[in-house]
Amino acid sequence: MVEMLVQNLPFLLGGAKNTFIVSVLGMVIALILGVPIGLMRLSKTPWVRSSALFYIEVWRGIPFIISLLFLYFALPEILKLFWKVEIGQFMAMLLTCVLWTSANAAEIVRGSVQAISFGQTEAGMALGMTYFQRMRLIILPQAVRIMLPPMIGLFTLLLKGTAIGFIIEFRELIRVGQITIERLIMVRRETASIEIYTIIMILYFLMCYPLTRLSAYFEKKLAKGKN
Amino acid sequence: MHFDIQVIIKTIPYLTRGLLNTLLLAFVGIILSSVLALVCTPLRMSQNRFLKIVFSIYIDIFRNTPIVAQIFYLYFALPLIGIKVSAFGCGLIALVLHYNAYNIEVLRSGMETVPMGLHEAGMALGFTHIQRLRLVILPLALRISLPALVNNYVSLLKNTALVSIIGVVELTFVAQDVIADKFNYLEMYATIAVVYLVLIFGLTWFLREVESRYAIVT
Repeated sequence: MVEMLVQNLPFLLGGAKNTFIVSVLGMVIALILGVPIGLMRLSKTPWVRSSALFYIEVWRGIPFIISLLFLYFALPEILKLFWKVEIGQFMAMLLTCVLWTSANAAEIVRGSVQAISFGQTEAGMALGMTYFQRMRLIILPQAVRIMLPPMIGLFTLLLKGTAIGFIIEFRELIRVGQITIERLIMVRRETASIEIYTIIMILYFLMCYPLTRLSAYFEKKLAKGKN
Repeated sequence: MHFDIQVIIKTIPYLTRGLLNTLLLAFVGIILSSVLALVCTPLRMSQNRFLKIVFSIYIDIFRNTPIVAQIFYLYFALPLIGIKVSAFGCGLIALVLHYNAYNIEVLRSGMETVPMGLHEAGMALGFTHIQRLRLVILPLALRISLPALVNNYVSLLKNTALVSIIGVVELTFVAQDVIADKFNYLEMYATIAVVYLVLIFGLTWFLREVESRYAIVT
């Protein structure tokens, strides 16, 4: 039995690689999108603030699985009116991840920018800095320290969230595990569900536990620097 | 592209059945996971080394693996150790165990925020350890950690959608079932997206009201 598991391990690791790739790519794009949206949420202009709020509430409020199914199945039907487009599994997964993660990242950015005392902004205004200079040189460098632990937590949640991709046949770890189980039943007549799922749980644990510890480590370091 | 309201209206009875299951799963899950967390957090913080190790392992496993993997694992593993439950029961158990782990951590940090003076006051009044916890510490810890717990509750409501993967007849399952018959992706997924948004906003509004009355901000 052990050699059966060892034989299938490269296939399972390929699934883990897919999970990791879509999570990292999604996180990077989400950070690029999330910071502006989080800052828009804090804007004084009503329409800017409302549209950021709408985006955040919708993509945080809809369950991940629902937005994934909607973007993979229903969106192409709407888009077919304008362009001839098919959305592949990886693209649908990536799009859902980006939307969900950027909404959550915007909330984290908003929280950390609000945590910085207003005196810093006042000092920037007193020095005659524009909004962008204030953000770039004073506020955001300080906010990055505050938002690091929650962002690592968000990345961990994203890694675990991609697990639902099996429902649209995206070849991430769980789908790959299910394919392995089906193959083993067909080829060797053994039902190895529990063993394969145990390996899947172990692989996810190995991916996420270091990140959890990293986030806790940064949180402790941040608390030390404050007082 | 066509959007057929008639189809949605015809499936409203089936959707209602799924909605009731979703709400049942969410509310029972919230209550059970909170009660379980209230029981388990003092155990987690006890001095007993065995309890500390058991709970550390439990919390680490359930916080670092996806809830999807946990649902599948419990669905296959529970019958093997003799616990025969329906898919609904299995989904409920998976949700409760998963969110119990998160709630224990939240409640633990709430308990650590309670000032030492209250422990000493309880001891001075002659309370036993359990009486101190039940009458003084836990009510306060619960109110302190209410905002974080509210986040977990809303997350639980959103993740009830995931138990459809083992066949529980809840909202997502109903949508996929109807689509398997009639192929009306756009209508069904748009409808349940709206329903979920309404549920989430409703629950969030209600819990924020509760929070504004009972939460203590330190």
